[in-house]
Amino acid sequence: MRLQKLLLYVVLVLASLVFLFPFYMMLTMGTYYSEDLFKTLPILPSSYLLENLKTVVSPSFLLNYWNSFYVAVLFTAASVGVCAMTGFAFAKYEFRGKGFLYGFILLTMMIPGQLGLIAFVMEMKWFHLNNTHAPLIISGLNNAFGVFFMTQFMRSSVPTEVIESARIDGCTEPRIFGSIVIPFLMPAISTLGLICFLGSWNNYLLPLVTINRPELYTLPLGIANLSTQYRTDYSASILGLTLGTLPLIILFLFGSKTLVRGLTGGAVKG
Amino acid sequence: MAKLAGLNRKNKWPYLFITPYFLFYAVFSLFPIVFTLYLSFTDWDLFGNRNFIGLDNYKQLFFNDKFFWKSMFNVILFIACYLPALVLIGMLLASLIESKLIKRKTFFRLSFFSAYMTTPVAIGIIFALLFDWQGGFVNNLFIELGWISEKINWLGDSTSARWIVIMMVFWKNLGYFLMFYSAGMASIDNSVYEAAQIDGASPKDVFLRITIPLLKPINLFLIVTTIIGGLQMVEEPMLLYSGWASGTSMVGGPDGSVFTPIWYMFDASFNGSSFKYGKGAAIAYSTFLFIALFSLVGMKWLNRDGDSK
Repeated sequence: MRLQKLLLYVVLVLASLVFLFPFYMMLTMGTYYSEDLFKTLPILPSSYLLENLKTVVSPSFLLNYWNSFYVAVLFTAASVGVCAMTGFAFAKYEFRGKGFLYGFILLTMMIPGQLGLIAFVMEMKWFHLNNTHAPLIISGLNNAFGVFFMTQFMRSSVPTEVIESARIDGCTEPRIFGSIVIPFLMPAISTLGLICFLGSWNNYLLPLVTINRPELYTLPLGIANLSTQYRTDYSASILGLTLGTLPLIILFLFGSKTLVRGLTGGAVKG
Repeated sequence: MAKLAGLNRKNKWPYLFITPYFLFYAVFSLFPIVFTLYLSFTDWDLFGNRNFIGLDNYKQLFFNDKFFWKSMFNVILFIACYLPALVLIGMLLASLIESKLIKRKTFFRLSFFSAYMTTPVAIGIIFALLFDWQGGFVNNLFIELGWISEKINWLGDSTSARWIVIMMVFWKNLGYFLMFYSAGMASIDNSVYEAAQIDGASPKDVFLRITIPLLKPINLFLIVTTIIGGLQMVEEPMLLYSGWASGTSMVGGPDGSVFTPIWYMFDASFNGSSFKYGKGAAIAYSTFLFIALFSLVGMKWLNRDGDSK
């Protein structure tokens, strides 16, 4: 039994070291002087972190960071808001066409996101919205998974009796939604919010084809272009990658339970 | 009468609540999808061509375009390599982590999940630098250890380029798979395992006859979504060849060995001198056909497997 346990630990520790390795390399390579990076094996952290920080934290990088941040916040707010409203209607009302419309939403969940991309980009040009952040935020407005998620959550966790009694007391429907249903929804909102934020923060393709002005770049675009900005300074660019990942790690540390529950919830419950 | 009025009042609201979603969906999702279908029957481009050409784009793709078939072959090959590995190694590692003998479960879960939390853009770039020809870590390490005498151009060779992409996807997604399996295993009732132990089942029997069958719904979900996502893969190889490592700024990698359909769609529609929206649209719809086909086959196969047992 003891030998078995030791063996288990050895296997797991080795496997997790292998898996942490590229991630760890990203962290350490950012602390090197660029010239040394390719001469030695950069396994242990070096002492050049502050210099690299000075190089990479330029006004344009900070601007990319800010763009990514506010786009992700608006994307998340828009997506979660619309999904909660729609989910409320599907979970708590009876109305004509409900079954058909809900089935339609489930069906659209199967359609890959890239399918309409070319026409979406053209449409944005017709509306003169290319080279703005609007397409990135708009793409959060039709989140079929979010509607499904909100409807399921509302069916199981928002008591209908509370809504009924509020209605008898003369509460209007928007107020019922705003001040009675929303508080019940907080766990679902934070889960869906995390997933949306993650999706927006990591989005690379849509900004790639709708934005070509550097001052409007979001972080993934800015990072991908760091190599042309500081062609020789690899360490600084790698530090940029670390800084781009940092918010995700912070989000994960604070919300790992919520996030894991949200990501796995649908499949595990079956 | 009063009751009826109440019902009517109630009836207006659900429609108002769902209107924004369906409005946005119609304008920003349904319309583009339908219009892309129309585009795929035209030679629409940036330079003013707007002619309806019927199925010509598709004929060209299916019968005369070796890039299309190569990109499709690539993504299917990649899936065939990393998906079985993810499922098998994922279930094994998850059952090791969730075993009663292991104490620091969170540490192990987090270390495997760290890859999934890394921005996808960073992943392509890190691997490009690790496997860089001149100064990459892998070459330096292998020379230090005396395994090779000359630096190998990993990213310049089509076979090794493919393995690097497969490794990258495997590395990124193992933590995601583990998370699902861990959650699934935690939801299996402990008494099932205790009963098996009392009956004298070996760990191997428990894994094969209890854990795997009970994880079936999770596997169904993971396999189908991985196939759908895998056929649409684009960012990882694209950033691997975005010019960070020495001499690696090329579309599709060496010989197009890591070209993918969606990358092809991008290249046809938004890149350099082509801007052929019609062709890009046809690639999008052809890829979608393959996705629909493969996910149907995948679901059928997994379900039939379940019925026979």
